[in-house]
Amino acid sequence: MKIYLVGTPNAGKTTLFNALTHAHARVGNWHGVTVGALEREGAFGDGRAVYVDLPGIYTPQGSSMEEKVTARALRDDPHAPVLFVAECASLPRTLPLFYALCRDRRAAIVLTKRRPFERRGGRADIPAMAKSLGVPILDGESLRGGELARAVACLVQAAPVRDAHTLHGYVPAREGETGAERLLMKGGFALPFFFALLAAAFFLTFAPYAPGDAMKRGVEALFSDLLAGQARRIPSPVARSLIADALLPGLGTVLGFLPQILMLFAFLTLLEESGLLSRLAALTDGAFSRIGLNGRAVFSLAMGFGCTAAAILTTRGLDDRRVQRRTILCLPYISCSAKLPVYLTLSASFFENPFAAVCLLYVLGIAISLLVALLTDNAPRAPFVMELAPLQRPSLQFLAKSLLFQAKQFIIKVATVILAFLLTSWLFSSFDASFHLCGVEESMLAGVCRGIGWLFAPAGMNDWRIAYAALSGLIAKENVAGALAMLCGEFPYGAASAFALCVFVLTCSPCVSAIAAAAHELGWRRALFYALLQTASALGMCYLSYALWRGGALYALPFALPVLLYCLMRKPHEGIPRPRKHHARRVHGQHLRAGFLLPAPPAQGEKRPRQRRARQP
Amino acid sequence: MKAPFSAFFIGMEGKLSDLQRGARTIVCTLHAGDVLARRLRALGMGEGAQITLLRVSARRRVFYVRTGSTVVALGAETADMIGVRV
Repeated sequence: MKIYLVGTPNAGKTTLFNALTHAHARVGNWHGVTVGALEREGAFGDGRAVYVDLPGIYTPQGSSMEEKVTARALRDDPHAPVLFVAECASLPRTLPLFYALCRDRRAAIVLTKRRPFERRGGRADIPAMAKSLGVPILDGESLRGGELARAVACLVQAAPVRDAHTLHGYVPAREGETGAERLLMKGGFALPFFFALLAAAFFLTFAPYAPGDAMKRGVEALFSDLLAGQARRIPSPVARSLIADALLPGLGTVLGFLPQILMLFAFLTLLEESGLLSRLAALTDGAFSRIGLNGRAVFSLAMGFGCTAAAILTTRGLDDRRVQRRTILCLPYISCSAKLPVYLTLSASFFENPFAAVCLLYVLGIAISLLVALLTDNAPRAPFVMELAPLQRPSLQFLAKSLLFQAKQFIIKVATVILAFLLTSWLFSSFDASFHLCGVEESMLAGVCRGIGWLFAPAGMNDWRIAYAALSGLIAKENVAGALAMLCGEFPYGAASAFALCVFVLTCSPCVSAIAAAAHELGWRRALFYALLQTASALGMCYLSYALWRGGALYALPFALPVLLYCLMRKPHEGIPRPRKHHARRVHGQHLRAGFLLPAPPAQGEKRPRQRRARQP
Repeated sequence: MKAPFSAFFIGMEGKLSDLQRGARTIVCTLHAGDVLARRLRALGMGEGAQITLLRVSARRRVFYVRTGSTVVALGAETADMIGVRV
């Protein structure tokens, strides 16, 4: 039997799904985390059933891709039972959706987030509510494990949902915002606050002798001092070459960055879980609308700092297909965690302080991403509407679980994709065509790749090893760092070339996983076209960066001038003519004085503002 | 709870984007397409809903509105489409 979990976004469906099926599906405190249907078997009473976690939906006729997935899944299985997951605080508002989705089906309501609701004075008498609505209602917070699976089995005896009933036994919570919620609506406070958070995260992760850097040095010491020393004692020259020249430098370089990658993920998880991300999305909508995006795209761009492929999937929550395409085009320029090893490996060549180098590259990536959005902006965007997720203290247990999961995924990737790449590269770079052990320049790899050495010649690197390492990033970005360590050891070129190579990695097409995710959303033709365009433009950006570093800002003029002219001559979208601020104040004041509006009661702790006297004619 | 004084004045409609911070009012009509109107109703901002304008961004591009237990952020275009009692 299949049981569908449905409800509004951020109601707690995936948390319930994980509890019922012991899965580790991604959860987050913002609207739009689940982007596709997830199926898994779990306990149901004394037996088993297949639970299907569907993306959140506001209306059955919703316009976003996620809502269409849910509506289609329910339409295709009209008799399957449903668990409707609803937040306690918004139950009255979501009842119409419950009746619209669950009519003529066996259904039960699972209430979530009951504790914060009761802390704000709300009361939910579950037996009375169940009796008034005529459907079983379960408390999702108090039931755990086997109790939950047995409680859910009430669906078997439940009668199909028919007509709507009036809700009894429910007392709504007090309305009002906390001090933190009020502060975060003020742009003057919230934007500097977010910048400060970002700066703190970067500082703790990348600054010399900060926790991230200290942990990285520890892992590097393990590989380079301890394990490499042991490896040099291996008698067999082939085995010694494989382990000491390929695996240890390659894997050690990549694994050395695991602590810093985890710190970045920790910051992203805290941002998601606390509810700050939805506030950031609301704050930035105004600015994003000028470049053809909307605030909702912030979710995807923030996820891009973790993984581009996962970020592309979150674009399904965007209502407007054009905005989705533009966001997917911008995402590769956001530096994902896989590019970090490359930046940190090369940054020592052009900046003494890696913190400054990494900050520069991240900021450059964000700037290019926004510029691409601006240059491809060609149509008015859909109106912006977004429910703000409640602010909450992130759970340390959840954070720890999330980081363990990320570490596991990273180690699996290193142990499979990157290891396979390094083994293949070592094999072809250590043996000649007759399979005799030889130097790199006489190897099969050199014979094949010598023809592409010219690719980076305009950036001062007429070297097939650099071209091979750079292009290996199309498989996985970590391969670039691993290949450089294996083939070159220390980076053999100067600061300008190192910076140019970083810019190439920053602006190049994402890895194959991200291309596949883009193909899933946009089709293979468009995804491959974007990938080719990004790779070609990345080479151009690489050459330009090298020229700028060596020759100065004058080289930027031929490229900056057309962009500047386009921005100046671009016709802004015709917005709806809106009256200026003083008009709004005048309209409001006139009606207030005439008694058409009640003055709003002052917020807690605030004084009532003084009202101006009406002007005498 | 006292009924708002404005309830007695039927037919005086303005736009949500014309209001100032702190204003409490009732939604009269939604001048939006079907899809957006359904989304607004699902968020508790349908016709007859009592809403409070919590805050407006500095350039009046983002409007924060409370409806019941939900806080919704609206772009300026969306706020222009919501007719409220003034």
